[in-house]
Amino acid sequence: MNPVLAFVRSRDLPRAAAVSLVLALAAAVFAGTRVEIPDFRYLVDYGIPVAAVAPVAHAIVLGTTLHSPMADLEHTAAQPMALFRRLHLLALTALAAALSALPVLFGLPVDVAAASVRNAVGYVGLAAISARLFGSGLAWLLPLGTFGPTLLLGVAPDNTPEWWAWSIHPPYASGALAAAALLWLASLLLPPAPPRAEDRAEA
Amino acid sequence: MSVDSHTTAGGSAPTANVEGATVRYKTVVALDGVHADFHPGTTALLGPNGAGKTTLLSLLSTARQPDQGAVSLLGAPVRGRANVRRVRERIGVLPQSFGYYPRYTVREFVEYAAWLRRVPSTERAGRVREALGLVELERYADRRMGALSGGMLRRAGIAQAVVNRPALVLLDEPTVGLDPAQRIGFRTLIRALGERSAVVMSTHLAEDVAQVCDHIHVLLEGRMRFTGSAAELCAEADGHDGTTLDGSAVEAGYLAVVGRNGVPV
Amino acid sequence: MRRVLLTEMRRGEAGKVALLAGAAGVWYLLSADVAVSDWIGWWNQASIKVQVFGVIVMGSLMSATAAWTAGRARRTRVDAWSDTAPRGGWSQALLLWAAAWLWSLLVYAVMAAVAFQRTAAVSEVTAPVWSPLVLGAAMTGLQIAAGVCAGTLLPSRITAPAMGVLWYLVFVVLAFLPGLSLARLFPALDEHWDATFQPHTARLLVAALWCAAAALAVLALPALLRRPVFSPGPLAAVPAVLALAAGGVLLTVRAPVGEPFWAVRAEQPAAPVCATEGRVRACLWPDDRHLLPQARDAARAVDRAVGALPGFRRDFRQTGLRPAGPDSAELPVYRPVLDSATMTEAMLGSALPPRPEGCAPHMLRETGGYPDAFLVEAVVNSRAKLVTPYYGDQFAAVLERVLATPAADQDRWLSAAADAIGRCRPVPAPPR
Repeated sequence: MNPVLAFVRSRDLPRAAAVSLVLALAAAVFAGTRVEIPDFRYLVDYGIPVAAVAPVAHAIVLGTTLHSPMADLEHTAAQPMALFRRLHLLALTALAAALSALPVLFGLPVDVAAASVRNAVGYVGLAAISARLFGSGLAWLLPLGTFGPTLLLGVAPDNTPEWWAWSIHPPYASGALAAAALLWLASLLLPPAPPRAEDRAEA
Repeated sequence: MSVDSHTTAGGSAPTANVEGATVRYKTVVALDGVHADFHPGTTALLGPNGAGKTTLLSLLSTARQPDQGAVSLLGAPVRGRANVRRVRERIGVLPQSFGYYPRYTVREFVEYAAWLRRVPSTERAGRVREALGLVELERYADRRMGALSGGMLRRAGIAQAVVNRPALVLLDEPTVGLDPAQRIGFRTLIRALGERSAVVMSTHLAEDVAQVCDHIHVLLEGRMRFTGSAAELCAEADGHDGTTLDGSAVEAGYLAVVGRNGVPV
Repeated sequence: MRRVLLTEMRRGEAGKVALLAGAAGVWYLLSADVAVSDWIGWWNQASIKVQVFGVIVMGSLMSATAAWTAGRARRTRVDAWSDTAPRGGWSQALLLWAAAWLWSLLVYAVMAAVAFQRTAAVSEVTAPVWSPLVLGAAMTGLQIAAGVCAGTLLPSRITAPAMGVLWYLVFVVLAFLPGLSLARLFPALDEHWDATFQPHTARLLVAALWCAAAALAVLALPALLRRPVFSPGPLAAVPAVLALAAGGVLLTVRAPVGEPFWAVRAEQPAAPVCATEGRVRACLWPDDRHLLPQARDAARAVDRAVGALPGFRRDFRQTGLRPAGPDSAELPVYRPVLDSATMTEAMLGSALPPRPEGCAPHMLRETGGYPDAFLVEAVVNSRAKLVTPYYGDQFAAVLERVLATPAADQDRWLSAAADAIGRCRPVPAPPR
């Protein structure tokens, strides 16, 4: 068996990618349909939920693949596993970004797609940071934990995003781009940690 | 310094050497200035729970570095990325409870381990076959890992630990959970491994030690309290006749060492 | 049982996640700016804020965490013995639920304390509102129970985040369908209750009962569905029946048309608090007595600007207060903290008589085609030294010209304009 394929399979990446693809198709359907959106927490632009929701969903689903059932064996491997982990993260980011941009084919404005791709990069970084800090099982914690407050509190009454709600900033806002890039780079540069006891005990 | 592949073949140079290693977990001292040499053949690490056996194995597997002291494996210090990588190519590790991807077949699992240990791709298939043969799992090579019994899982674990023909094999409690027949089979297997590599195994089972091990280290509360052969350990017990070398004799010798050091059992 | 519960609380993931959510909540509550906040100073709103954050953010996260924790037995392969334990599945699920819920209650209490402390620093009355908080706590319990149930039945890595996303989705979808009765079963109250409203305590408590009973019933589900586990006894029927009853009440009760479901109009106070300056009087709800100094300043400014002019209204009643007579004007107060200028602007905005219903505004060509009332408001605001909106150079030139005319001419024109607006006629030509 090809080692790359083995690596990918051991992390259930095909399944996660398939689920993400379904989500991307759902987002595409939503992007092609103009729906009347009520005044929900001032979020009156229908494009914002697509750009904010789809990438976080991709990051959460693809983040499940950050768990390695053989973390113990890999910890003392002769292969440069840190490099493979980074390549894995790079692949996840590329996949999440591509799937986030997919609804463009179904009518999503390019601006919204650009924000979507930016958010995918940031949220995948956040998922990897979460996995590093809390264990791979809780990779979803930081993406989900920042997503709720962003939707609930991220828009000020004057209809502008709060400074910290980077994922609903306009597509080319430099602050939001920097936040997404920083999160991703931080996840890439975080030193690897020994396998956690929780992960080790898992099947 | 590079790894010298000849040092493990025999002679007086130890395969692994630990010099004054101290390891702390926050306020707990897991290893306290431990000195130990590990030679070709089978070495048992004995000691009660929490004595530091798994920590010592983690030093030998390069999973961690000592806070003080030094570790040399296969003639090279465990320092520097290139050295560590070369060392890792020549060691095999069976953790006490190892994880696996349940949908892998046994063959895929061992193949993945071979890749992790950088077995050249041209040799990989042959090495996997050899490792599965050694643990008598060829018939089950296409069975999913998730469908294996406890004994077969341990054997698959051993297979992944030897797939790279390691010079040093580290086994953490390898016979735990096996039935008596499986344990006897395992002893044969470990003895065979000991003839071609240095095998270090931590265990609680005196019978395994008596049957398999050439050397014994007893760790108590993070300190090395005994180093010698099985016969020498048996001789630690009062009233040992000097001829019997079985599980009870090893147990008696071990308890004598423990008692002498004032460690509650 | 208590020791096991404490151990689970100490060792489980719920504590970490609750503290993380709590840190975000406390930061949000502490960082809110008093000057623009829509809750600091109003007890109702403070309670609503904590409740909505607790349910939407913390509850969703805790539900996801509970799902993760509940999958632990399968992940660590101890389900074989935990499933065959003499202690039933309901009991085991209750333990996980209680550990996560107690953590969230602890954090919830801290958030409520912070919100109330900030409100107490502004308000001159002390009247903490509890019923929305009780509902929020119960709803969090239901969310966590759903997490435990899902995590036990589907112990996969995706179950936990899926639970969190599912709750977010539920709240967003329900926000899209405000009239849906089913939304009452998943209450996340994101409403604006100023002094006009009081919580409908009975409905809130019935909803809390529904949530609590449904949580207990949901926790029994895994034990009912999974064969090796001891099923819960007939006792499990009690919360199920209670949940059905309370849920049924919530779905069948109707609020009067145009009225909110979760709140009722507050009773008229025996004596509103009023500020009188010259000919102007402004009355507020007693709970908003902290706004009296601003009301006094505003009344003084309004008196100076239009106090003597016939046609303008001088008696202001905060929204919801019964008008003193036909000439009483409604004084809208959208935030619990207003400065004097904003209050003056609100009063001046109400001082002009309203247009009769169905009356279309009359455009004034001279100002560039803006409604004539705009110019009247701009003149009045300028006389009160308020900043007026910029409607273009032409408008500004007319405004400047009017303000340059003698005061008596301005007064005459303003009175006539006010009279015309109240009768749905075009205002007379501005003075030159």
